[in-house]
Amino acid sequence: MYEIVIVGSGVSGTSAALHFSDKGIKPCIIDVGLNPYMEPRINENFYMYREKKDCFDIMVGEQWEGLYNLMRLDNAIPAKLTSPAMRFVIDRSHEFNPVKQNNFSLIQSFSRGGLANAWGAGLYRYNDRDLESFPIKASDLSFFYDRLSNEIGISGENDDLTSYFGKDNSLQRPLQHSENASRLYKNYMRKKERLNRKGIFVGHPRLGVLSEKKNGRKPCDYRNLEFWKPNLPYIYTPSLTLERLIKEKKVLYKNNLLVKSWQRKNSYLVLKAESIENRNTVYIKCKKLVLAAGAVNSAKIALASRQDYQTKLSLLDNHAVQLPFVLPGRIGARLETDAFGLTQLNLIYDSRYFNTLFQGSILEVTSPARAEFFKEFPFSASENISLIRLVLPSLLVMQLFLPVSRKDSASFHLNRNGEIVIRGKKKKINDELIKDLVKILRMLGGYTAPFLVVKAENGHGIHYGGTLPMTDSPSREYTCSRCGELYGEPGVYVVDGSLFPVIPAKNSSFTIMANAMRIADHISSLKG
Amino acid sequence: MDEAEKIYKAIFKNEIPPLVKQRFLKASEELFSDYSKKNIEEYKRALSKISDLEALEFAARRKSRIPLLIIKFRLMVYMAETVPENSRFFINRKDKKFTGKLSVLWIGMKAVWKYIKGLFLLRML
Repeated sequence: MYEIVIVGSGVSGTSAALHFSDKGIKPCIIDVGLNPYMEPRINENFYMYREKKDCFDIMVGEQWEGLYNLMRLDNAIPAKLTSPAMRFVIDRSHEFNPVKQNNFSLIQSFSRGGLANAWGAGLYRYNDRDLESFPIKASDLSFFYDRLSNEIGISGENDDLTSYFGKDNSLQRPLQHSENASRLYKNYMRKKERLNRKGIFVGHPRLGVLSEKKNGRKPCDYRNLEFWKPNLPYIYTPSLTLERLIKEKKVLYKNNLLVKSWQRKNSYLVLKAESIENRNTVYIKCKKLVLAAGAVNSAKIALASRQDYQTKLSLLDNHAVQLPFVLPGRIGARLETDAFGLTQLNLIYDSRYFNTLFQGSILEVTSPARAEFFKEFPFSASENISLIRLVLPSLLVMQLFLPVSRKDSASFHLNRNGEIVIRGKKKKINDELIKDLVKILRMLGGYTAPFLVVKAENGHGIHYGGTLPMTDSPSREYTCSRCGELYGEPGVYVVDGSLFPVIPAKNSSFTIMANAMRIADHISSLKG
Repeated sequence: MDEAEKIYKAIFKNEIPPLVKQRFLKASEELFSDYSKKNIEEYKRALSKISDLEALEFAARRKSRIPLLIIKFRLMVYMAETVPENSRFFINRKDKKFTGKLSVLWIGMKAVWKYIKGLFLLRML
């Protein structure tokens, strides 16, 4: 019999385990835990490497993984997830959790460390404004944000975005800007007063990417391997913490197990799990259960435990749009092969007109295969290849997350055959917002047009939440208390994004992690 | 010339490296079996009848015609990028800011001619 069992090893499960271990409690983590199948042996800049070596295995792969978006043009996934070495992140997900979906495209992971294995590592604190609809305040999370910041090693700066991202005294210096980002930032600083009056603020991103050494981990070496090689030491992923906790014997980790449901037996719970190796059923007894399997899977386990095939739950996800833009002065420039290939800058648009706050990430495009851009250019094939060579060095992409409330949510329920059914709602992006963004980028020296905006599929924001929301006074099934306890299920706690009643337009990972620690703190304070 | 050679030539104006050809043909065989007979025949007709495949693909893409031709062009780009000798097609190693901007303008002008030609070829097919 285990005291505490955590289901899942992603951002929330690992953070909860970290806090339990801080408190001297040894939890057991039950996980499917797929590992990378290949780790390319590249020890130099990827652009140098590919000038000398054949890269078929790394860029396309024997199973044609790199062609995923070629074969599914109407349902393209983030390019990083199509890289053969990253395949493990989303591999077998529809086998473990079959989904029937309409107007939604769920991306799920059963890998050790979860979806964060392929994340952009953006780590942003929520403020009281972000937490308006939550039963907690930013001050409830600040201790845990600080603890995590110390564990992870976050690069960034307390700059114009501090009032949105929160003050962090342990930040490492920001990563080097690419030439494109550097120009954009200089333009911002020149026009800062005017832009700030319009509610536009630009600053350094907060990234779980080291710019300095930390605990034996090397800092970012600007080799452009972010898309092609998993487990880079300078990008934090929950697996780093998990490995350490396993090594220090502070958690018990049981993988190859897919948790299906729980049953209550007097004073304890019995988890039913299936071995992914031989499909045998395994029963695990525990006193307290911590669900950290992600917003969809935690809710699925809850529905399956009650054999509830009727209730429809809400599923939230930030809608995301991408707007590419060029810096005309950089057309024809040498490709900056040593630029950091993910977020370079953040932009906050605190719009009075829309009465909301939008967070944009400005990304370099040096990481993905150049072939990913071929279909985006409008001319003939050989001309598009020339444009890839000449225009991409001047191109940046602004990725903007839009806030999502319960009225925009998708609905989901569980079928008797174990399949989940998700029905999304068509979302319309406000044209005025896109026009505003085009004007903002123009002021910063970037050129684009509203027709170039790429609207991500419903579900491709990959900021899922809202399935088992926390409230001040839960009074119905499938809601949780502010301490994460599931209504009517004493001893069953939820710690992942399921708890979020809304998803603000800001990366939610850091808050999911801090909130998981807050709930772990509550559980560890309980007697017995 | 076979389909791989023709498509590569249309995109890169060069002879296809043997490794790229081999991979393109293997991928074609394994990935596109679910296209309809009509789509396959239309594609084969395009390959055998039209010499300027690049102009044809451009117009077909704009008009949402000959889907197999469009996807095979894209496939070829993915395959071509993986070999070291093709790095020069995709990566600008030297600053060419002045000539680069002129090239982009020239590409825009050339596109009009290619599109008109492609529309004509599409009608011929």
